[in-house]
Amino acid sequence: MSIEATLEKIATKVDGVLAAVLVHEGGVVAHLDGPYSVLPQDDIADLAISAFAMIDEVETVTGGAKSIAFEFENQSLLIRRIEQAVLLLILEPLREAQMRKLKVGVNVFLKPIKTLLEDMPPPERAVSDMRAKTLRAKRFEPEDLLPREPEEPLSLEQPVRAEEKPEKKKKRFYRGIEY
Amino acid sequence: MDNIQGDVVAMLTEAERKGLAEIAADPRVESYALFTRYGEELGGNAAESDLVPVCSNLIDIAASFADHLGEEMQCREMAIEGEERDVTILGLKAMNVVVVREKGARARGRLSHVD
Repeated sequence: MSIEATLEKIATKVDGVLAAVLVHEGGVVAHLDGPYSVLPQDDIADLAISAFAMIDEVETVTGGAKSIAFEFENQSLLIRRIEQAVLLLILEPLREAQMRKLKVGVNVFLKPIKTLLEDMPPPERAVSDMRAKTLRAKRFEPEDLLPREPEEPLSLEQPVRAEEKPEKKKKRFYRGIEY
Repeated sequence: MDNIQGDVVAMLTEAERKGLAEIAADPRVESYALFTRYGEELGGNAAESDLVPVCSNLIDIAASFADHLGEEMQCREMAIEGEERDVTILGLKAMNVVVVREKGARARGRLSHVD
């Protein structure tokens, strides 16, 4: 079975997986998009660089990271280390117990991935060469966490057509509380 | 909790305070630290360790992931399963908490989703 087929199997057999990327230290090995993709392809290399940076960063504290799981508002993310490679999974928003279950599901596929990685030729481009974009994103400022004021209309002079339905205000949630 | 100043404790919600007390009392917790979103240490029992600068960098990288995934909010929780220790970083309302546990120890204090 190919690496692409293995990633597809992970996405179909393990509940909650939206997209999967396998990255070797030498470069991106494979990524699964198609019906499962929520991942802009341009961002794959940046995510890979960030994943390796994070694994290096926690080395001293953890004695080497096996996995790193993130819980965001709308998605979760799992980075699973496989020797010299990482498996990046973009997930539905999962809570702690669901994440534990998912890790068990993913573990089943680790051995076949290891075998496939051993047999494949080294990637042509190193992860660090792929894109030179900076790793550092903006920090979330405290004001990001506060409800935002609705934007003022551009002009009070603008006529409002009677037949136009007012646009539904998008619901915004922070930790389950609407604001 | 004795090593956290009163003005810092006052910034926590009641549920966060309760959860933090559980973490502080957990014998399988090796160290814990509170720090601002900008990486300044606010208290805990990890003074002078390299835990806080490391976690500050992790928060930056997590923000980079959030950017790529189109998330508007910072990471709620980051759980690292290590070879020797497990680390959890929780995003609270006003600050971050990092907890270092013995490997395999389950989190007792749940701070992030109680409010």
